[in-house]
Amino acid sequence: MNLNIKARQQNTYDAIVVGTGISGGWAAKELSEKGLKILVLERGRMVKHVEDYPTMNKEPWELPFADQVSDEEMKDYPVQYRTGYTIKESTKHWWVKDTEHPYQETKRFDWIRGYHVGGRSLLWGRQSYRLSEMDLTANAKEGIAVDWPIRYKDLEPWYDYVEAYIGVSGKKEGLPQLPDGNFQPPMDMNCLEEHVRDRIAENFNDRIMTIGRTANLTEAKDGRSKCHYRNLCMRGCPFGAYFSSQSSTLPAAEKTGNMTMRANSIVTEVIYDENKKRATGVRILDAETGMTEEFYARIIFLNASALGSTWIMMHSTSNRFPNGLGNDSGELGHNLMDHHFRVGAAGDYEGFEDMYYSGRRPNGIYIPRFRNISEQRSDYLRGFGYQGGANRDGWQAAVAELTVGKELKEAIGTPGKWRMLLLGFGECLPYHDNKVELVKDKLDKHGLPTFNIDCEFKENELSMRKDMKASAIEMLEAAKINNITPFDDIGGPGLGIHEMGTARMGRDPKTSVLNKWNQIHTVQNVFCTDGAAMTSAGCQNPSLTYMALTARAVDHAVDEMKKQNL
Amino acid sequence: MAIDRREALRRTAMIMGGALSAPSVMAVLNGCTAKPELNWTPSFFNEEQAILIMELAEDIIPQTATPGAKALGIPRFIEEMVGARFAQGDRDKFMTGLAQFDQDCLAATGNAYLDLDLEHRVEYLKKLNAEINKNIYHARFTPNKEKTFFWMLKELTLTGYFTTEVGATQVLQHKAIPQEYKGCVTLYEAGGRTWATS
Repeated sequence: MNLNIKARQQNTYDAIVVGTGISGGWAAKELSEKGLKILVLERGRMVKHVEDYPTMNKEPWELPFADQVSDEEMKDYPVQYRTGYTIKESTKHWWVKDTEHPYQETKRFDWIRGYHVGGRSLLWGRQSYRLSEMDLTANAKEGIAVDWPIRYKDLEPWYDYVEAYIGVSGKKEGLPQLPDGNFQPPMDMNCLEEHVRDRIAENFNDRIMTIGRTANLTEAKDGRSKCHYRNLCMRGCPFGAYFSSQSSTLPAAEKTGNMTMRANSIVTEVIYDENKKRATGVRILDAETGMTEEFYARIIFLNASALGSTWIMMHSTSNRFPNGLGNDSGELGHNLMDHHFRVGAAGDYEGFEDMYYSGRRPNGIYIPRFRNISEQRSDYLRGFGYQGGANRDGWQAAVAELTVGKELKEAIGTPGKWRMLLLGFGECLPYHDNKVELVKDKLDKHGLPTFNIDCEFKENELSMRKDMKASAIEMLEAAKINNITPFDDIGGPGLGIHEMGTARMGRDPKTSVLNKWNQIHTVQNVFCTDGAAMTSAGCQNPSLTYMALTARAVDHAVDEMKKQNL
Repeated sequence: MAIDRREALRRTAMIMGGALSAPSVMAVLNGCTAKPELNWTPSFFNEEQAILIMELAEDIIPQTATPGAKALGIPRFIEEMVGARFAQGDRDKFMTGLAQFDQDCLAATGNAYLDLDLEHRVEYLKKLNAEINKNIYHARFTPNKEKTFFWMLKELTLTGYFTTEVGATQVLQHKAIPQEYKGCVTLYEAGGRTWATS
């Protein structure tokens, strides 16, 4: 008995954070800095900053087979490879083997993910944009899904706060639909980008082109170096120059002395006490030993990614919650969203032949949303932005463009044509029937139920894509770009790696899972602040919003604990 | 007085009144050709295939003031890519194309590839090069199964070559740690040559 009490005490913390990616790292930092003793659980392996980035300094000639993974090995990554850029010799260690982490697809859904400390914070695209009042009121205004329980003023100070900490470089543009932030100096545009920007400004009064707002430092900060322009971010940065849990939030949490980190710990459920009507802790499966163990805390933050956190809630059943923790509404697992992209246009430009650029910028341009702002179109709701950029052809283009022999060798030393690309990223509406379900008779290697994903883009997205393509062409034409080649290759939802919405925030427990503080409506000591919480998607890259939601929720949680309300 | 091989073959065939089949004529001509020597021991290609690949790669990127494909081990890289990295379907396609290559060359030029002199080799390769899709956006997304053998070979040769240190730093330019980004500078200020990576 005494032993049990002691064991229980040993496994008891003030707070448990599940997941170490973008939002988990933030939860760990904020909770530990506020003095809470925390346990941080990560289902994957340990990854230490810098020392566990095995390919970060590899030159092209130091990677076997020009960085291409063998066909045989690729058989482990049939889903992860769908992006076309994830599985390389230099990056394959960051992505799950689909053979080990299977799921079912009613329709194609590309669930691209990495299980390790740091999660996708090591791998993300780093584009950092705020949602606006327009995004947060759109559902209510249009009668779509449910209203966000928060407004821009609720998020604004937290955007300020997280941007100031992580370091986002960018340019203020004064647009209501894309609020400015707390920016480090912007990165340069190259010659053709400046040209296109100026032609867009001349020809259109409803849109602008700006440099991407990216979580790469342009000034050194808190022991992190500024960007060294290698553009090898996805391998892990030896300079800590982009925001990741490793470079930024986890060291801060570590520094407090309040954090215990346990890797290889798969949280299989949140333990719910029916008498106390609250969660008391979590049960884990040790991925290495196969043993289960329980840990206890006053509050629990679920930051296991949108689908990861949703899986945990669905798998946490009790008499009170037979359909998953906090799932009185039946919305848990529904309203799955991603951004739809891979539509736009590209072309080349005659001019600037004697101009070039120096350094490899890990960032592109951004054209903020300009549709359905003051006037509503009849063909679709919401809007889209463009990412993209210009570059001059390198050797890859010579396969098609140049001849052979001495002539090829002489010509290739001169940079090739200038090209400009506009790649649209569009909002996807929340649809109840885009969903994930637990499949209890198809188990993974740990004997745990797997997901069936049933999700598709629908008419609104498909109509929007026509405009995304046409508007890209129109802008390139205005900029005198030649040989404009439009493209539209929608792929599967999930490919944007912005999956979200499956435990949405809302005002009403009958129609949503989380409240305005990201607490489960009916289990208020459980918070979820990752992509699962999103009530709508916006068209902006979402990670910055997860960070802001997390810092805000922690602040509320600790306040409530002090008031003995939690 | 330079009579090229093709011309020699044509004349010989005329003299012989077409009595000899072309391969026999070639065999005659081959008698005076030094066989190219392999600079690695192939494990996937046979010797004949390896020699042809080696010569083709070198003709695509020849030795000039900087080393050619052969000296940088690109033929071996091609063998490894085809033998160990390619999907089975692509591998089969490549090997079928390789087996067919000399026959096609013979039909088009009257000579086996190795019996052509450099000028005519390059002339023939340029003809094959013209079959590569010139629309770069389409070319980039063309799967191997829709590419010609020569297209696959050229892509492998360039990929191998420009990811070597010599290719990246002597023919192109490369900075491991650029430190800064200058978006719009003269080509001269940027170092004057194409960057090896983007």
